[in-house]
Amino acid sequence: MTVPKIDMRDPEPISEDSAVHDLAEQVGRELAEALWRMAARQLGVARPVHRTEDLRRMADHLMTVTELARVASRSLKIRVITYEALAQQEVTSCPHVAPSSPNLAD
Amino acid sequence: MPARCPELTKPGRLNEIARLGLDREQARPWLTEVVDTVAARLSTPFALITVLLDRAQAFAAGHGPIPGWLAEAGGTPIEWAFCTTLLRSGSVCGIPDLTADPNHRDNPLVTVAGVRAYLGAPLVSPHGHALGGLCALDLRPRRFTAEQTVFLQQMATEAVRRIESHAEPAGA
Repeated sequence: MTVPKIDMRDPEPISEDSAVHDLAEQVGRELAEALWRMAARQLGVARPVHRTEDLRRMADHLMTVTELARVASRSLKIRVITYEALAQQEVTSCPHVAPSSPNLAD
Repeated sequence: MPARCPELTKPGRLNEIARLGLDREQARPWLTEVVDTVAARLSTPFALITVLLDRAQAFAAGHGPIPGWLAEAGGTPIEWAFCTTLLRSGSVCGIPDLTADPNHRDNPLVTVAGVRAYLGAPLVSPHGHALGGLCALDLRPRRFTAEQTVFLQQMATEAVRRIESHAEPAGA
């Protein structure tokens, strides 16, 4: 199975700021920042968190806390894994690549 | 891509998804039966139960050869979700040719993965929250019949019944 080359302008890029913003939409700014800070400390992840593997660990960790944080963190994890898959195909520098895979079954 | 839908981030809807455990990463054979049935009845290579989270769609069950990277992610970014249409419409929605649909023709699942036709029914909880969708996908343009549409709606109702019956009791 090959990872299709996909226009990386969408979805929106992920950063610590965007992840905390999305979390804050669910649990409030103060709690979101506190949860993020504690998770980073517990995992020993340097801030700001920007590496996809660290973002994925943060998402996994936050999925174990409150329910709304869990939902937002599952979203983050799905997005991070998508980026990881695409990055492995080195498509980040190819914003307008042609389809390389004809269908989902490839 | 469709614009972000304000409904996606409503706490009541997301609380309902969390209550039902639909955001959790787990196998759900009781829902796999539903998507298998839909794919067989509608003769589509793919059928999915999608849960619309705030910034991603999660696959609660799937039928068809989903690529490994999609399976590992367990969903896609919300920008790629066909079923966000259901949040706005609140009813069954069919798109016979996604390449001709202005909201979805640039979707990588269309342009790259080759999905061409979509029929989706909303999954609405007993509390009235749209949780996601039950959808059938084909790799060729096609119009689904009225009978197939009714069947999909009926199976969406059955899916919600099964989701409720497997939800953890409050406080568990």
